[in-house]
Amino acid sequence: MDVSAVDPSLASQAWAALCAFPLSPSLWLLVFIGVFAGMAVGVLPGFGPPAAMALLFPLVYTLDPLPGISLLAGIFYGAKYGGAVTSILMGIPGEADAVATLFEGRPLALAGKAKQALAAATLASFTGGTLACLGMALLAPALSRAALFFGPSGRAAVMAGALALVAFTSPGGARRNLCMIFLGLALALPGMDPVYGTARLTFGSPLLSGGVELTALLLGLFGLGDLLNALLQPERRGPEQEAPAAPPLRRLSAAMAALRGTLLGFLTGLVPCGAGVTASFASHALEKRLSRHPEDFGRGAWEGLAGPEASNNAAAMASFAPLLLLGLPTNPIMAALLGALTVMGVVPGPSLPQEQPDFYQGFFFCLIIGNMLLLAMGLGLAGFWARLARLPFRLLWPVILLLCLTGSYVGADGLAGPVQCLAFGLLAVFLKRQGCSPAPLVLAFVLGPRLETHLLQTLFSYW
Amino acid sequence: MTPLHPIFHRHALRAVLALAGACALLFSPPALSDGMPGPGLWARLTGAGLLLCAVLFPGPGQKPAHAPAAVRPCLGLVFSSLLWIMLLLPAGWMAATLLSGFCAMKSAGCSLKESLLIPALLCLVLEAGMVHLLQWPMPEGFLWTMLSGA
Repeated sequence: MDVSAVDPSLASQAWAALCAFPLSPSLWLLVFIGVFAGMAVGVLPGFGPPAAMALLFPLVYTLDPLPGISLLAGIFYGAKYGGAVTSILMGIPGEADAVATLFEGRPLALAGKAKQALAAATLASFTGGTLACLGMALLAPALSRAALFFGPSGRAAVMAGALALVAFTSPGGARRNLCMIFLGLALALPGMDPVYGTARLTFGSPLLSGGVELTALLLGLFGLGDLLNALLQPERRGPEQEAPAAPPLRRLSAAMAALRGTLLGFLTGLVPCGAGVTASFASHALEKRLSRHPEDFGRGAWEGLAGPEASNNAAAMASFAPLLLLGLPTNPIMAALLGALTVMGVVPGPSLPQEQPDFYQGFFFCLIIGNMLLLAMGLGLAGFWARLARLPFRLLWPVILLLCLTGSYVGADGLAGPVQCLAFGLLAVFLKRQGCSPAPLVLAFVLGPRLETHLLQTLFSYW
Repeated sequence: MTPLHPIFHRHALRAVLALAGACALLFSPPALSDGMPGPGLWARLTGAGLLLCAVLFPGPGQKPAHAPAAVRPCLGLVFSSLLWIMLLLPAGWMAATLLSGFCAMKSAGCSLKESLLIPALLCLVLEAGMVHLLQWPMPEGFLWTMLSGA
């Protein structure tokens, strides 16, 4: 392949993208639905974005790749904002990477500045997300040019390296994560062998003949599993915190914090190591170190709110680059997206911008539009999200349970789906009790067949 | 409260990993096919890795919490799931959703009114969205078909 062909000038690429972007109302509607659903999922307890995405798989598979993947991506970055809402208003981080937001956002809410804190978080999320999208568009030609030099052996090495990085850098400890990775690889074994096409480890059971369903795995581990873990968690009522005096809002320093957070989030988003959490904590620490008023941190420092919020959204956007250009998911949500892309006939890799330019460039625009919608909905519907966050869990979980079971049945097109979903839900509780996180398991499950294929191709060529 | 016995709790994941590893090693197809890497090679590599992990696993990170947890809703969740799975094919998705939804709502501590209303509303939403709009094939239940036919 001509390497120079993947490096069009930025202007021509942007123009091509503008022309290629289909201005259909249905596409806009689906992006809106994705962002709205993501925000709702981020706000509601006991139901995370991977499970919400898996629930929508059967719908997405009936759509074209661009609207389908844009819908799923909307859930991902919408949920980032939803996590910030619960962190600020209730002191409960809906997502792991919203913990850093809680440090400053909650004291601001207690000091009676909840509305301003939500607005600052929304603006910082928008800044981080939009700038990271533009950065990704700028970096994409260089990344895809570099990725062209990877053959099967290089890809196998990159995937193995990514899994090793996840094992050694994700929270929980390297040995536990390694166990989860091998368990994920083992779960991908039953069913059809991806190279020879022969049945493997099915034990003659119809429940295993099609292998483990990704939809059932995600809905089980992150849907039913989160529900069970939330129900098993004893209710903790801490003493009412005193409302501290909030430090004054310094707009320029908060804006600079958001820009620094964006850069930090963008760079960490490209690496497969739980980027959002790493980026938001690193940004909070950086802002505290750079601040002229470090004593404000923990009492509602605006810089400490804007930086992590911008960084986790930038990391979310940047993690699309390794997914689309290298076929490398950097977190379980990206792993779910990779599964959806594969089913929809989009082959992620360095040649994606040339082979499917409409999808690739349209997707960038959908991300930017999604960020604008997130800004509008975040600022305009703050009261609605606050009310939604206070819905009693006892009313929510039975509905989520039934949606998970129905979604897994439709996803697997048979009873194998709900049976596997329930089994994985129980497995998630068991793993949590053992101190293990299911995130490396899902990454390994999705990457396993690809890693096997590339490894065998490499062995064939050297045998 | 946790139902896991301490010894079981300490070694359960090791046992799961070892069992999975043994299955992958013993029941996978041959590792070589006509002198070339075969369909069982990857399974054997994974199996060996699992056995190694079973040895390396450091044990549970923390002792199970003994604070009182809501066991009734958890059992309700599992029971409702099993009920839904068992009723789906004979009674159809709507009856399964209504009945298991009712059980789940009751075990969650909802009132009778809520327990009847919310699953019914969910059924209506799913009927309109999934069955009519998206036309996904949900089982109607052979018992229902037999009864309506008779």
